Amino acid sequence: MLNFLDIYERALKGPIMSEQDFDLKVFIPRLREVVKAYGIKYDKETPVPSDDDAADNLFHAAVDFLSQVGVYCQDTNRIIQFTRDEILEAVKEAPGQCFAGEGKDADVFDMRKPDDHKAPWLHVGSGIVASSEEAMTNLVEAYGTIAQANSISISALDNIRGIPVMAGSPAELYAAIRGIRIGREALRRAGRPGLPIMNLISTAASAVTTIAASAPQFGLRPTDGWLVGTIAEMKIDFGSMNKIAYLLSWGANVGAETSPILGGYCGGPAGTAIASTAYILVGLLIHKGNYQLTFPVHFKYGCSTSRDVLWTVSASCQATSRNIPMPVIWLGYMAAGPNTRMYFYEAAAHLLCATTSGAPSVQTPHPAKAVMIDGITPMEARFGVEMATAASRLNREKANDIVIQLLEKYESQIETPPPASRYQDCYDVVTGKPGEDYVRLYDEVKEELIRMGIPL
Amino acid sequence: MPSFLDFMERATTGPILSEGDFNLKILIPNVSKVVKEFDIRYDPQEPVPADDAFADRLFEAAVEFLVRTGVYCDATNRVIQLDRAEILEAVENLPEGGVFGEDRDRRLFRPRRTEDENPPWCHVGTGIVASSEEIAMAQVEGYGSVPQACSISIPAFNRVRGMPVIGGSPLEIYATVAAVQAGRKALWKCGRPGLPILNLISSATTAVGTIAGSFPAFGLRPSDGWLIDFLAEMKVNFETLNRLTFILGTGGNVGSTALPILGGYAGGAEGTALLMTAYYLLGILLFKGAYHLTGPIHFRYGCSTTRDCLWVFSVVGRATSRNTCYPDIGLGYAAAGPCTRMYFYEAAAVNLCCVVSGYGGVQTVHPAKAVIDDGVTPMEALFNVEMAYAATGMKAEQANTLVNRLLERYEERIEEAPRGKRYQECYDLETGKPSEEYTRLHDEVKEELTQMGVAFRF
Repeated sequence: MLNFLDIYERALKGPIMSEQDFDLKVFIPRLREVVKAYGIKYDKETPVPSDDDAADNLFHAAVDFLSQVGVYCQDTNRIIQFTRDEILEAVKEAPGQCFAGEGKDADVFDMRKPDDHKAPWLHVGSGIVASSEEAMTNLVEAYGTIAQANSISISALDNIRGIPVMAGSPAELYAAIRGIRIGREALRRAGRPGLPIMNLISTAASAVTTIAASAPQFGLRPTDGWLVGTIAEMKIDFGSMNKIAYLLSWGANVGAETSPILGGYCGGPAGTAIASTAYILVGLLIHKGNYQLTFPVHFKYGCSTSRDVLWTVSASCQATSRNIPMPVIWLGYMAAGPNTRMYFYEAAAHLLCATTSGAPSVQTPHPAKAVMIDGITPMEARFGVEMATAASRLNREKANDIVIQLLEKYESQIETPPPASRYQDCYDVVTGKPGEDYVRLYDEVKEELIRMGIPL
Repeated sequence: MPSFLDFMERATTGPILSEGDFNLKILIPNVSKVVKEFDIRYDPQEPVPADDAFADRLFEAAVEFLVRTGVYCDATNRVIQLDRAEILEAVENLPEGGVFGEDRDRRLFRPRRTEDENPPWCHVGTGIVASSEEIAMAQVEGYGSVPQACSISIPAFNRVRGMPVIGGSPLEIYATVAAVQAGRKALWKCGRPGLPILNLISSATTAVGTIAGSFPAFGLRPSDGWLIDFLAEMKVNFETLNRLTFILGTGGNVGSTALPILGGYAGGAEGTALLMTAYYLLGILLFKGAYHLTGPIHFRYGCSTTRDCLWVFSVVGRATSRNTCYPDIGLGYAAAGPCTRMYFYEAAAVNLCCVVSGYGGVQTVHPAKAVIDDGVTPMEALFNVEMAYAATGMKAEQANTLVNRLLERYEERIEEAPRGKRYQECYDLETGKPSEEYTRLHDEVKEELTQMGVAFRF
């Protein structure tokens, strides 16, 4: 097996070229060729396909694609290349499980298959920016209070003592440490001190801060999880590689983070599905990840709930869950925000696609494209858990029917979603309880979804 | 006293100006004005002055200079301003020394006074690059075997598995961890596992390397010491400040580090002495340091053993030891390399200036300007300790005479100093013993210095 130093050596010695040449002369043409060669086709009438052979074909296409393209290192302008054998060996050796958490909240995050009735690993919460420590504490405490939560994401802070957080500055480090302490304290208050935080480090945009705030003195443990990103598409930099080298050196859980963009260099859904599948292989090969977080998004809409992205999620999730032993958290970005009916439709659609396609884990679908400060509440977290659990009782065929019905309800509004509420607009900041209107809306939508055939 | 976060706020809200304007419109004019106003004058005949009034005036001048100038943050293009009261309050509230190391090797690093009878804190070794782990371990084992060593510096690694270490790359993290672990292993082998390493992290040129290598499982402890540099002159950047935030946050010992350049923005010896003194104040106030590492470097020669640099060492040591209790280590760079007679003369001169002028500690004078890989051996470490003890309790007048005589022996050759030998050329790698030639040279020089009036204690 290739170790990380071998990977770094390839980043120093691989073929050299400009980033633009990699995009235009390698990535795009090869992807087109592989889409064609493997006959990958998007069917807009089937957002949740049920064809296992097609899923396996997509996996083979991704292996072929990665062996032809490699991963571009922006800091050395070289391509880290892999042979087909190396890719398949990494797949064969992948453990397919990640140990996370401590004490009574320690658990094994492992694999699921399409149509699996086992509930997915429920990753709750988001790294959406919280404007105050109070709001963040309430959110994390509420996430921890959800009994089914297996792991959580904690919010990011955008200031420390009113000083704005600038990436790579000391203020970022102070804020990152503060964020971790708040997260741990809130989990203690929820009675779940051992619950793993798996979106580390949400407040850190720079590698130096991630590394600094990970010192055990500040409260993190190897059984938490660190997200280490790739750059769209098929690129990496020293920032990410430094995080990997550091985390691997002391045995921390590394979560490879990827977000293929439909409508960007990947082209349409067929190309995005190949890239999305190939990224899971990259997570094994480069990151040596023991889990992965992926969220395909639409270039134009910035969300994951358009019909073509849903198909991409279903197809690549099936390809990977059937063929790659990597525990992946499938995350979706919603166009609509909290306290809107549309959010729930989108979230339901995404969770149906991912869960029935064998997602080992799903995360709370992120409201309002994850760009609204304080734009998330524990209500979405609770809905995500209930919906994912219900979806695990369905199969792909049934999910497909329901997703089509849901798309009819929201598809035309993706570009102009309804106005949403921030945490403080629909929750009582002091008691941490939701407003009556939001509770009513939630109950109404739940009733509606039950009528559609979702066993909530 | 302002917290570090308060200073970070000033770094984002202080007066904004370009780096060029800071250098040309603030720094350089303020150095000239303050030197004139406080009548700071360099006397080449007196490399070890004994004038206490002058020393106190230099300290006052440094406070005034700092109040007028501040520190430039080149990441935000703003000046972090400081006021007189907070500077003096920080100096006033300094504890009398700091504790470093663990177990049997845990010691109190006390400040010293001029002509102090107590021997200085002997900081042994260098961060000069070692070309292999084997050589690095042999060097560190040699340093740890010097009984008077209170703390050590470990070598830097510049290659991993044959690949060159690029600053800020993952390989820097590997190199950093490997160097720390080799250092600890060597200290364990020589029976000094608790000896503090005070030049962390020598293999890391970036904040990311420093911070990653400080993960406790890799072997470092808060009782070690992390060197955090000012940028020449009177500047900091986010690399500096991030290291500082991290080390302060983890409770580690911060070693503020200032190597002002004589012949650069500081101007001549007077301006360099002014800046070097001002850096002490910044180390105390801004960096919240536990110790300070300092020495002037000559812009043209790249060493600290010219006559004017030696004067700077002496006057700054006298000014700061009389007016602060910040534990400081004087660090000199010699022009000549290991296994040369000239190196010993230069090292002797630096030790005489530093020990007599009241530095709390002295470090092994770095051979060959610290630029030759493997260019240091335990013999230099041993000689510096011998020399530091010999200079202890000596009067400034006597030291001045000796330094003048030493300068006569090497001053003219600074520009063409002999490069000397690398570790493997004058030490046996297997036994860790010096060659006969080097032992003979060491003994001869000691004999010569004894005849000059240096009373070696061992």
